[in-house]
Amino acid sequence: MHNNNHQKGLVNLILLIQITIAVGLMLFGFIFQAEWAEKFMIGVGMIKPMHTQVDYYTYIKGIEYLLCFYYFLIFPVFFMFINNKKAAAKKPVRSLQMVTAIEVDKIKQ
Amino acid sequence: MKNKIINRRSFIKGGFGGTAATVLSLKSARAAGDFDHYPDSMGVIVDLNRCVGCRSCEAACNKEQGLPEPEKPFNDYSVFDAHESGGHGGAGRRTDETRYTVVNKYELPEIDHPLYRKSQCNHCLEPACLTSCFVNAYTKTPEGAVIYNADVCVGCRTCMIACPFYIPTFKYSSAFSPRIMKCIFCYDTRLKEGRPPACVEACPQEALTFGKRVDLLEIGRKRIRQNPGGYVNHIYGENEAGGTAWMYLSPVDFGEAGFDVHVPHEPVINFVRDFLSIVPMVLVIWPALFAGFHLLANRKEQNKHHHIDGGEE
Amino acid sequence: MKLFASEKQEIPISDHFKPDGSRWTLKEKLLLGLSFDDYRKQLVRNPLNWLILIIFAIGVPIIVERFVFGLGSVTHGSNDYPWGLFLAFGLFGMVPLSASGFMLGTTVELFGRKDFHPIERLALLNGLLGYFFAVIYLQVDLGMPWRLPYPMVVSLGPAAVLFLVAWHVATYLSVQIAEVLPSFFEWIGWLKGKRMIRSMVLCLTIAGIILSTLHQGALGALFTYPAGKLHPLWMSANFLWIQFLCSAVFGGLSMLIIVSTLSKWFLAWRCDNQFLDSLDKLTLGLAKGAAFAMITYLGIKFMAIAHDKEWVYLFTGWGQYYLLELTIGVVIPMMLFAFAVRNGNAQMARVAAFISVFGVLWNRINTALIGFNWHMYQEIPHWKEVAITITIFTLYLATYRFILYRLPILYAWKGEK
Ligand code: SF4
Ligand code: SF4
Ligand code: SF4
Repeated sequence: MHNNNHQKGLVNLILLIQITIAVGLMLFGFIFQAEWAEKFMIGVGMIKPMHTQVDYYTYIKGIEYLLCFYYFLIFPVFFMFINNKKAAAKKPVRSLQMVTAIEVDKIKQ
Repeated sequence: MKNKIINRRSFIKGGFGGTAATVLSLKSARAAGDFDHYPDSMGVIVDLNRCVGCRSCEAACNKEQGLPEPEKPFNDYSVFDAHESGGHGGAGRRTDETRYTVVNKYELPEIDHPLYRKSQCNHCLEPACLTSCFVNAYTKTPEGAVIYNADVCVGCRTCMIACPFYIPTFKYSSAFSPRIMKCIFCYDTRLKEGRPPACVEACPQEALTFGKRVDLLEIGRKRIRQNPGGYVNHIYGENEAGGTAWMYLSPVDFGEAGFDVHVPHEPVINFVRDFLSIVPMVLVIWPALFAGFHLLANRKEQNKHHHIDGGEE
Repeated sequence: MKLFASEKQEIPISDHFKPDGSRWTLKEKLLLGLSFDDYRKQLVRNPLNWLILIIFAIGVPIIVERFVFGLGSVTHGSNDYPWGLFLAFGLFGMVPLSASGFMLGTTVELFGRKDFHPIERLALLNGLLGYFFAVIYLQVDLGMPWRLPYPMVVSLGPAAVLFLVAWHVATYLSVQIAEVLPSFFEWIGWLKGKRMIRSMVLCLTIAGIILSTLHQGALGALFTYPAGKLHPLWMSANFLWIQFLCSAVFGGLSMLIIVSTLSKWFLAWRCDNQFLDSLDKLTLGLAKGAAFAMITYLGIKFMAIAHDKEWVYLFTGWGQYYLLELTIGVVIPMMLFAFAVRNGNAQMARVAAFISVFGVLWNRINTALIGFNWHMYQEIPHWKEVAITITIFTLYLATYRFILYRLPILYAWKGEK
């Protein structure tokens, strides 16, 4: 039982790391490959010359609300991930040393 | 602000080897408040000194835009004396669903002849009507016109609330196909091809001058300079509401000639910007804030339930 | 109805089963457990119904006229005052009075104040109906009502404040329907649906807070467009949105006090003891909240004047009118609320609630009609416009009553929950 949970936690962790790497890569790509990223952004209309402030606002507000929409999709998932009472209840609160100790033990075995 | 952005951009360029092209086109994505307003856009300057109140422009507009026949013909000058309600200050005629432009008469004691003023949409550089419309029915074209698309308009009339010059009007008489009625600078029939609008062409006195807005400002300044006694030193529309494509020269204070001199010099969107920036903050901050409040309040609740052993739904 | 309720002990219906053990049918539930004849009799006996009938007889043809001959036939069709009474009262007035839904939702579900539970459903219903009828008013006013969904699906203008109002009112209306549905599910006896909604309740409540904050504010922000047309005392580019939001807080709470009071007076047969017994205490709780909101509101009202340096306007006629609005609409009810809380006097809180609701409506009408175009002539609404406004409001009251008679809003359902 305990082992099972442990595995689940591991899977979660791996998933999280993967996501972080993916997001990180994306950001990295945007910085290093500025040219490519920019072409992409021009292609999808994210950068276009603006002559009036009113058009500029229509554009930035559109992007902002789109991002907010994505945020609303992410936040509840994040909330449930953190606030999962069942998962938390099964695991005692452990310090970092304890966790490492357990891991080290396992490796030793 | 602009400097800061460009510096950051050049930092990216220097640090990570972006190309010059990157920086160039990034520069065109500007910070707010830094816009060139279609440098080649057209406009009209109206010289109140030259207008004789012949109403030719009204007639030309009526024909060009296919508007309904007016009650009184265009050569009937009694309309100047009928003080209908409407207009700024309550006197004089105003644009409505049957007319995109009107000429009003102003008798002033200090000059010997009456003054006439033509009014129509001023084709603002930062149109309030455009920014207030929730279906984006208005477009500011590179030629300078502010045009309207009746196919998406919902008829909420916010654009009429927002326009500082009281220009857009609503076709109240129609139940099934109402729409906003407003001067469109003769965009589809003339301006698109670079021709002056019908009203300008019809003016026998050259009271209306059509040209690039930048040139018109020069012309206006020159006229004021050459005849300082004949004009007040102000071009109405140079800065009003953030600048307009149609501008006016007047021999008397603009307030006396029926202009609204309280129109702010900032574009209308500046008054709304504060709220618009609060919206995404609320959208992003509130979820965690209130979820947090809930968790804080709930912990207590849970403890209590442990004690009294009560259940929740 | 009061009469019947005292005669027969099985009504009002508050359970799926009759005393003899058989199930109420839906039709019987709709007829409140009366026979058709009895139901008609109680309709005819109530003078209020006759009043409603008269109002409808006058108002409905005018509404039809508006949709057949256009807005111009029932209003002055003013181009200077594009927004008339429909929006000033119906949209700008009804929406703040409906803030009760999110306020009580937050209190009970988010902060876990279960003691406010007896009044929570009434608050939610008040919110739902207020919004629903605000949309009806809007539909009467829109030039092309059939294009209502355009800003959401056809052509988007995200920089516009009305864009936010449209989106938020639409989503919030759905949230509120979801929040009121549990009582409906109890009534028809579909418990699965109720449980489903209970599981989302936190999500719905937080969505409610976000959406309410924004569209209450957005309604205020709409009046920053006519920056030069609205009187400077009412117009404030930075503060108007929060003033609208803040006055919606006490507006909504006061409205809730009013509807609960009216329910207690006229629908006592429908209320259960839990509601009736706790009402005084809860009223004082609401009064406390409203008083705090009011003093905040006064604070930001004067902050706004200081921010735009408009003190000089206070010494004009407009300034006196402005101060009159604040004194009658806010200061007096605030003091009354405060004394009511101190002395445990629920009656006084009710009086204050009536004044404060009037104050909120007055403020909205001042902003949208009276202070608007302040350097121009004053528009007086066409009588037909007034008639339509009253008719729709009557429809609102009738719907309100219809629902309160039936759904477990004022009483707890006795059957399985
Ligand atoms: S004058 Fe009014 S209608 Fe014309 S562009 Fe400016 S805001 Fe729009
Ligand atoms: S009336 Fe039409 S054009 Fe004007 S703001 Fe509303 S939808 Fe836009
Ligand atoms: S520009 Fe065209 S539409 Fe506008 S007033 Fe002149 S003729 Fe009429």
